[in-house]
Amino acid sequence: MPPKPASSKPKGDYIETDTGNKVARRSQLYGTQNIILGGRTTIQPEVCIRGDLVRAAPPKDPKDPKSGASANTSVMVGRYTFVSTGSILRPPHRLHKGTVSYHPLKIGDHTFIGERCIIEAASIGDHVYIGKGAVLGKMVIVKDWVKVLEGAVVAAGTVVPSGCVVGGRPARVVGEVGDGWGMHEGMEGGDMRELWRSVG
Amino acid sequence: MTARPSVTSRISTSRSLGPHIQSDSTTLISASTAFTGTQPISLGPNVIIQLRARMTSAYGPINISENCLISERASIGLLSPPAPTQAEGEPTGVNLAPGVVIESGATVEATCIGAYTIIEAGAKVGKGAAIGEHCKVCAMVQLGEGAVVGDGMVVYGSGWGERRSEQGRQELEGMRRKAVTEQIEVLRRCWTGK
Repeated sequence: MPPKPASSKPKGDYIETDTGNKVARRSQLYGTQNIILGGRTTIQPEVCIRGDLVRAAPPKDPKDPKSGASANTSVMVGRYTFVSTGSILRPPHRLHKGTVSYHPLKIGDHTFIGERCIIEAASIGDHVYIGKGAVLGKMVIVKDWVKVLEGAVVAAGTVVPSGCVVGGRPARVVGEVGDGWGMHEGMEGGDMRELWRSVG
Repeated sequence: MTARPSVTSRISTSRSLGPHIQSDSTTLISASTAFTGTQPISLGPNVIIQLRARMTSAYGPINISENCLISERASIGLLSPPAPTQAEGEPTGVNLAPGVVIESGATVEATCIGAYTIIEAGAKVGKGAAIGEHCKVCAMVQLGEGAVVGDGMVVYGSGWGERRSEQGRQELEGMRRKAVTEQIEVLRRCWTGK
């Protein structure tokens, strides 16, 4: 029998953590100490997560109670969220009171991010489906149950209300998601457990 | 992974590997940047090149002025031979004026890009293009070969893009300059702790 390190190495392209996150060996994670994966999250190969872009100074905004707790976190990804190959997750920055500060990027649960997306949003809600090649600009807020169509360019600072379908360049609201959105396993925006299980 | 010779040991060898890179002591280059080609690449002071950017000088030199910011996975330099019709005295290769920001995944083959212009994520600028000062090429816009964009324009939308001129340009110029220098400062502090 071969020694243990040798047998475990060719096992798969994914590393599975204690909380069930499946992270591809060929993903490019930077500043890993600032990245929080919520558990059972899938990160596919060639995904780039810029955790090193963290807010340097302590939070100056007293109105946001959560900002204190997340001062040293740059990317937070929720449970059963799936990040497809080639995507870039990058915390947004903005010019605020004369200085540039990076803001944490929060992604909710059961969210699907398609291939080659560039995400610089401030927050993305639960059960969101982002089609491949979409670009979410800086400080975009996407609420729950949203579908972003393929190749959409969501302009910087946009707030996408919940239950919307957005698409186009620049992205506009083009419709609403149906009643069953987020309810069915394996559907867009639906439960992602099966997809997580099928990986690695 | 096999041990690669360090940068210093590579310089000491007589065989030239890759392009000749001229840079300043204040230039920050990520270790994962890919420099390819044979023609010279010059990087000005305070230039920051982020992770996995590609600099290709196979078909023309690259000249990046001070205070430029190149984001991850951006590709700078001509990817195919330049048009044979080009006159002698014309600038060749890729020239970036001071304060140009190239965002993630953008491909830049333009001959010249004016000062404080922003090329947003995933945009493509074809070879021979000339872009003016204080412009913005929005995300995923593809500007074709030889495209000319005047000063202070915003190019957005799909394909070749719609254009509109920036409103209130006078105030914006100062803002852009401040935003770029601050961004470079913050990144430098992030990376070097200084």
